[in-house]
Amino acid sequence: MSVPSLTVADAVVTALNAATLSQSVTFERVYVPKFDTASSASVQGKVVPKFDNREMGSAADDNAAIAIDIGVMKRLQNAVADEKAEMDALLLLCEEIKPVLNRKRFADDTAICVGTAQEIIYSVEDVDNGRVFLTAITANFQTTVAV
Amino acid sequence: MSTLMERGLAMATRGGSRAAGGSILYERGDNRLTIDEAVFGQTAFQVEDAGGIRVEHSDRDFIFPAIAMIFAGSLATPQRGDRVTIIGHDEVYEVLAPGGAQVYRDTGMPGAMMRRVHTKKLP
Repeated sequence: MSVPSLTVADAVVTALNAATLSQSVTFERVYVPKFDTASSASVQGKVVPKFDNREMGSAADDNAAIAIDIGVMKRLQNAVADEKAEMDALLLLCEEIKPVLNRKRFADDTAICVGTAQEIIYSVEDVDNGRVFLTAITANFQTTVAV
Repeated sequence: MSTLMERGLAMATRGGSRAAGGSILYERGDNRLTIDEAVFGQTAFQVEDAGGIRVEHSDRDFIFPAIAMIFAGSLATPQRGDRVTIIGHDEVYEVLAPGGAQVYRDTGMPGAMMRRVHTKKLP
C-alpha cells in the first residue's frame, strides 16, 4: 500500500528538478520546511504534502483531493535598493514552476493537477526583518484511491 | 580616568566572556568606513516560525561609539541593508531590525554615546 500524498509529492519533486528554470534550484520533499539564511545564498525549494481529502467516488474508489505546497525561498543578496528586482526574478521563477505542474498528470497518470494558488509574499515580516523571500505555491491534485 | 572607548567596552561587555572585539568594515553602497575596537555581541541563533516554515538566522550585534560613524564628513545612523564585515574573518553581516524594531539603539551619556547595531549574517 502506498500513501497517495507522498506519491504525488515525490512525483512533483521529480518533475520540478527535471524542469528547465531560470534560476538554479533543487527541490526536496520535507515535512517541516526549514530555511537557514546564514548558510545558503541560493534559491531553496521545498515540497510539502499539505492535505488529503477523500470523498466517496464509486463503489470501488474514493475521490481524493491532494494539496502539495511548493515553497520557494531565498535570502536576498542584492543591495536593498535592488531587492525589488531580485524578488521580481523569484516570482518569474514561480511562473515557470506553475506550468510544470498545472494540468499535468503525475504518479503514472493517476493524479492530475487541477489548479494552483500562490501566496505571493508568504511572510511579510521575513522580508522586512530578515530580507528573506518566501513564497508558497499550492498545487491541487485529483486522484482516485481504491477502497 | 578611563577613555570613552574603555568605558564603552566595559559597558558593552558586561557579562564577561559573551563578547569579543576587533575591527569592522562598515559599508553603505560605495561608502566604506573602518571602525576599530568595535565590540561583537554574541552570535545568537534565531528560529522564526513563518506560518509553518522555519526560518533560521544567525544574529549578531555590533557596538561602537556613535561618533565613529561618519560618512562623507557627517555623522550618520545605521540603515537597513548596510553591511558589516569583521576584518580578518570574512564574515559579512547585514543591518536588519529584530522583530520590526529599529536597526540600532544608542545607549550611554551624551558625548559618550555607544551604538548597538543589529545584524543578521549573510551566507
